[in-house]
Amino acid sequence: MISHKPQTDFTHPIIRSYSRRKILKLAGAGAVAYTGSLATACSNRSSSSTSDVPIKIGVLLPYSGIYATLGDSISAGLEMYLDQLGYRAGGRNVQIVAEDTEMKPDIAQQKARKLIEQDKVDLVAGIVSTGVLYGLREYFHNNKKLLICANAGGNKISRDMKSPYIWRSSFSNWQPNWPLGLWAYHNVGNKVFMSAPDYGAGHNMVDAFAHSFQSAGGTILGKQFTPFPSMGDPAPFITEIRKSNPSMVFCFYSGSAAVAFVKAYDEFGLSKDIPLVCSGFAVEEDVLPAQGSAALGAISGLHWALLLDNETNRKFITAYKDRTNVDANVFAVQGYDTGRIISNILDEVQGDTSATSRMLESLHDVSFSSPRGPFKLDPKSQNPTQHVYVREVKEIEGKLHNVVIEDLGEFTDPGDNSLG
Amino acid sequence: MIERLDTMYQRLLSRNILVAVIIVILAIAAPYLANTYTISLVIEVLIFSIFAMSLNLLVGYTGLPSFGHAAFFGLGAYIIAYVSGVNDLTLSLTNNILLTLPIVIVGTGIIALIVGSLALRTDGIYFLMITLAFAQMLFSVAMRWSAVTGGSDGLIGIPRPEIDLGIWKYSFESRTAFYYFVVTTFVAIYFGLHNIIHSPFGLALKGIKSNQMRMQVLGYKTLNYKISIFVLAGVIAGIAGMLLAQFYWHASPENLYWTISGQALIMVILGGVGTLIGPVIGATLMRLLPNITSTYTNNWQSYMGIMLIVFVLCAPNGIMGILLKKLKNNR
Repeated sequence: MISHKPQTDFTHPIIRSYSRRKILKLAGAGAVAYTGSLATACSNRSSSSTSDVPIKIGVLLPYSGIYATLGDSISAGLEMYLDQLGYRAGGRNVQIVAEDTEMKPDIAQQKARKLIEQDKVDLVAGIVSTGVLYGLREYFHNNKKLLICANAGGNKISRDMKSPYIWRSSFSNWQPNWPLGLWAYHNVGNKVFMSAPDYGAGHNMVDAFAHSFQSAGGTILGKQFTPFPSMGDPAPFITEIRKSNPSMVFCFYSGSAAVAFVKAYDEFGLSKDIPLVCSGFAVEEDVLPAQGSAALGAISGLHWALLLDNETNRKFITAYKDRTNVDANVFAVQGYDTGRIISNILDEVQGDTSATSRMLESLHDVSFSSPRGPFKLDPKSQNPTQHVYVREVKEIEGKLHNVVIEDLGEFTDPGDNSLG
Repeated sequence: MIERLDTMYQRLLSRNILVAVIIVILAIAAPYLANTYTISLVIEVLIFSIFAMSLNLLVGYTGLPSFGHAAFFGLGAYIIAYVSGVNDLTLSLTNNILLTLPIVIVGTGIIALIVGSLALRTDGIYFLMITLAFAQMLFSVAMRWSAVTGGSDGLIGIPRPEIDLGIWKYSFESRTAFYYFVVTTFVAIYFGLHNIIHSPFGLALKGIKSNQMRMQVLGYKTLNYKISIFVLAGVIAGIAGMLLAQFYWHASPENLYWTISGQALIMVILGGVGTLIGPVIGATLMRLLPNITSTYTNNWQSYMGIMLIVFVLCAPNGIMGILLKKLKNNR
């Protein structure tokens, strides 16, 4: 009987990241689901064979290499959301099959083929780096498979490289930075020096900030693009910044480079005189502990903050901390919302994942209250319409956190390069 | 040692015509026997085998330790991206393999000639450093010159090749068709290299590897030999890069990165330096093992590392070394 299928699948590799307790819980859910689906088999539009087999969600994330923390956080957020649903959506059981992409486009493509062609997953979510996203674009487009991008922010995928099969639950690189540029001109200073790593995301973020900052009347004293992925010694870059004598500095870094840059910025004494305004990732919760007091006072723009005051977020951060023993970060939020979007689509098609066009159609109306605040998907850019917040790193009860100092309102990616 | 292994392997090959026939039938029937994912793994393994075989011409047969072979691999990928890619940065000239293949060959050949003429004036560790530096230079260009190379995003929209004779047209668009295209290319290169290695030219290369001074005294212009093989190795690596870009529809700066050069070196050493089939075995292992192990554990890199250490310690002549030794003992 088909009823064996869910159980046998629990030996599948995904379970590697699960504790024994979780496996038992899943197995229990599987058994319940099986009896449940027998009862509803007659009323269900799809054949009983589809409703017995769990829906498989393929996950492509880096679990090794410099982006491993991001991959783990997104995974944890996604699993937490699905767990809250008892791994059920659209009247069927849901199962995750995860694969490690590192940050290599070729490995990612190999893994995508494995998930879709061998494991027969119904849709895929994940993707941390833009290079990987662009490398996978043709594969998903040509094979007409749905990909929900839970991080990589490359603007092009919302613009000239758009595919009807690729939607994003995270952000476009333009999104948090364009509003921040405008705000910074009016609130921080009118002469900026910009620093970012020399790769796609760095250029996207600098261009967005520069566009609104210049349009408002600000002056850009200089831009520096540092080697990626490893910046090396930050000293020469910090010296270049000081020489230009700006009224503020804009930067985007993430992971270990963010730690190195922000610490050096403080050690060379710049943080005392020149305010640091950055893309939120540079001082996000995943790097703050390592940056320590060097990050104090840093101002950043992002679509979420740990201490963002709304009910969904309060519940989310508590549940996440209980589950993982660490504070949530923006990547976990994106994973969590990805789970929500997926369950929305699956409910909409009543678990019939063969109805690709209806699944795509249902993405147009996705709207809910996320830990980030009101969240909806924009059908034009296939990217979220969401609020952007200005945050400042402050010490609260002995720990550093990003505190929201202003809600800049709702923003949607323009869908073209007209605004940077 | 290597020579003896190689002649033994020769005898082995001629004796096993039956095995060869079976392999050919399997290769032809594969798309009908295996699922599409397996076929895509085979395509990848074949492409990296071609790449590793080309590096083996330098490392195994001529004794030139190149640590920058990814340069030509990546060049092949970027050249085909420019010529055939449908993208706002590319030229989108033609996708006819009868034109694009010569362009890739000439393009990588010219660059290999220039680099080879300079680098081959040095030896050993210096040669290794120069090839590495050249490849890293290309990598930096690909990363930083985003207006032309697409930067870290690479170039997308590379189509699968087609043959266009004006009156007759065939596209290798489907995976099965592309598989046959890659298999044919692999077989052609394999037997092409087989002939070259056993020609007087190939023997001269082996002579250079064993004792360059003696070859020079005998009147061989060893530099010319080395430049020729460097160009040939570069061109074949370029073809492999072209195939990979067409397979992925994407050329990425990763293709030029030193880790790809390192991976190719490991493939050659693991499989067996100085044998034709060795790099193919090495490429198969190096592509398949991480793919399988990373599904089961996030610490797969550690296991790969341990495996490599064990191999290097226990099988200094690679897997082919073990196989041939065993065969000799049995006889």
